[in-house]
Amino acid sequence: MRKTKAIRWVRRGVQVFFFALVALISVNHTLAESGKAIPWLAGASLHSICPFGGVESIWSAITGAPLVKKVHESTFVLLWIALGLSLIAGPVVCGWVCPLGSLQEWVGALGRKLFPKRYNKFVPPRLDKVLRYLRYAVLAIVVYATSRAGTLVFESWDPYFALFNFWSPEITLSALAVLALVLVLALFVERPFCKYACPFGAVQGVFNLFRIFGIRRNAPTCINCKACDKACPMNIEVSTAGRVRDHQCITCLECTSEAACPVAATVDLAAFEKPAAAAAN
Amino acid sequence: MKIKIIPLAVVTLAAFTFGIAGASALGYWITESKKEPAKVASGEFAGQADPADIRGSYSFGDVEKAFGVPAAVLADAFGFTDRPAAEVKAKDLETLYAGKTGALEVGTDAVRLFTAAWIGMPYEPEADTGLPARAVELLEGRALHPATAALVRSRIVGALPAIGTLSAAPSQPASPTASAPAPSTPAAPAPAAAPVSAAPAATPSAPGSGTAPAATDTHIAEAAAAREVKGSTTFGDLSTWGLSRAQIKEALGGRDPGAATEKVRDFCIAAGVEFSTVKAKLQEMASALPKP
Repeated sequence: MRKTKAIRWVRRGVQVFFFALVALISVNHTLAESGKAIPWLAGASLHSICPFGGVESIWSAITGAPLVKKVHESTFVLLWIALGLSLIAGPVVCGWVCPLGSLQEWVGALGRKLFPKRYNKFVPPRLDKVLRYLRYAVLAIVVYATSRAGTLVFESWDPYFALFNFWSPEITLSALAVLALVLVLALFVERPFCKYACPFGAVQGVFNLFRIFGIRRNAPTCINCKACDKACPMNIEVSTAGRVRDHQCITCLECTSEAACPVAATVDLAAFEKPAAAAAN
Repeated sequence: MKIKIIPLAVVTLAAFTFGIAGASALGYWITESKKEPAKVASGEFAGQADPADIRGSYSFGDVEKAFGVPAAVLADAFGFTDRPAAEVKAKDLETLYAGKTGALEVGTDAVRLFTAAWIGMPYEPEADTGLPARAVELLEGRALHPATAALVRSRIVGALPAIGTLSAAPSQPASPTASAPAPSTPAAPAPAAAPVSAAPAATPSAPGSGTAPAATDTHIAEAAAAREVKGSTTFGDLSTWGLSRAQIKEALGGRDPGAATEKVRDFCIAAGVEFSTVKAKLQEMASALPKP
């Protein structure tokens, strides 16, 4: 048991690292305006280290037009890294790196204490199922509007930008309001923004359909205790799946036999077999 | 084959570390604007760097590199003497000229206009963009694009200098002070007082006064009718147009708007907010309002 708890702190450690790094870069960028910044970090802004900027500028990149204002080549580097990880193991960036996702999780820990039985079960399942596709609509609108305007139109509503720029004159009230709403909702629903609105999560979620390594449940050893279902922040029913190809999985590994699952080698992040090989077994 | 938690943590950290290191090695890890303006897409100047793409973050050194306009000339034109010319940023003009240019505004767009004029390209400035008299004087003798020459002459802030080629624009009235050249140099003193008064015998520029030609007033009136946010726009104007207090507050980054008679630009400068950013947001809101 002690080992299980310790292993969970590995992911939390990675999350804290990236949260602190992004916060440092953002604060440093503000200090750069007054010449007080750490020199080797001074040039980077929040936009330059957000891989979603690459998605927003994808039309500019395809057509060879100048990049959307505030987006730089570094965002494309991070986008390719994120998508590379997604191809291998799914949305690792969502579950391990994204600071906004991490913050929602941390707020959610408080929600779990406030509502130990109802937490993450407030939204009726039928409504929840429909809302899960909302983020694809957000993605389409953001990419279209950005390509038309040539500026980061999502910035005015972006809770991620608000989180690391709430002290900046560039921040809009709408972005702060969305951030506040997300954090309040996180007290009732785990990762509400990730589930229902995150356009970058939408992009990465698609990779769950064909990722090389995915969550795999070994049915013969499963004791059907549903501990994996309870642990999943995205409400995925791992206990009924052989392989998790749900577009909402964030590869957090909370459901695995290293974390929630009490039976060894029953739920793992494993290479998905090709259909023919699986049938032979 | 399985991946456990610790190896996935290592893979994740390694992917970012080596990905960024590799991109750096290949020269692709770029986190700042390269200050390379967009090229003109078509027409007579196709393929040339477009002055319209100069942004507030561009330093005079960046402008020199991209357009060939010497940074020292830009510093002289806009009255910056307190720091190396190459380090002055276009957005710095907003602060330096705040409240000193009457109805016209000397900011990033003024740098665009000056640059376009210097390299002989046409440019359509914003309705309230002005140029210091010294800037116009420096353009004397340059081969200006005919359209730009007429514009430059209609946007002078302060005294009208003696100009040769610019006076070729036939419709512009001559000023009594036109014969007084402004001998400003990069070493001219006191930038805080310099911008408008740097030219000797300068006429204080105020809305509707000084040497700002009638054409400028027309520009301003047209701008007001078109709900264009400019340097002289007050909070009262915004309310009259139909913007709500909440909208204005949002554009100001959550700050409460000032008095109805207060200019938005003055408010921004006092609050340490970049006016051009607020202006863009307000303009977007104003443009979305139903037509009067």
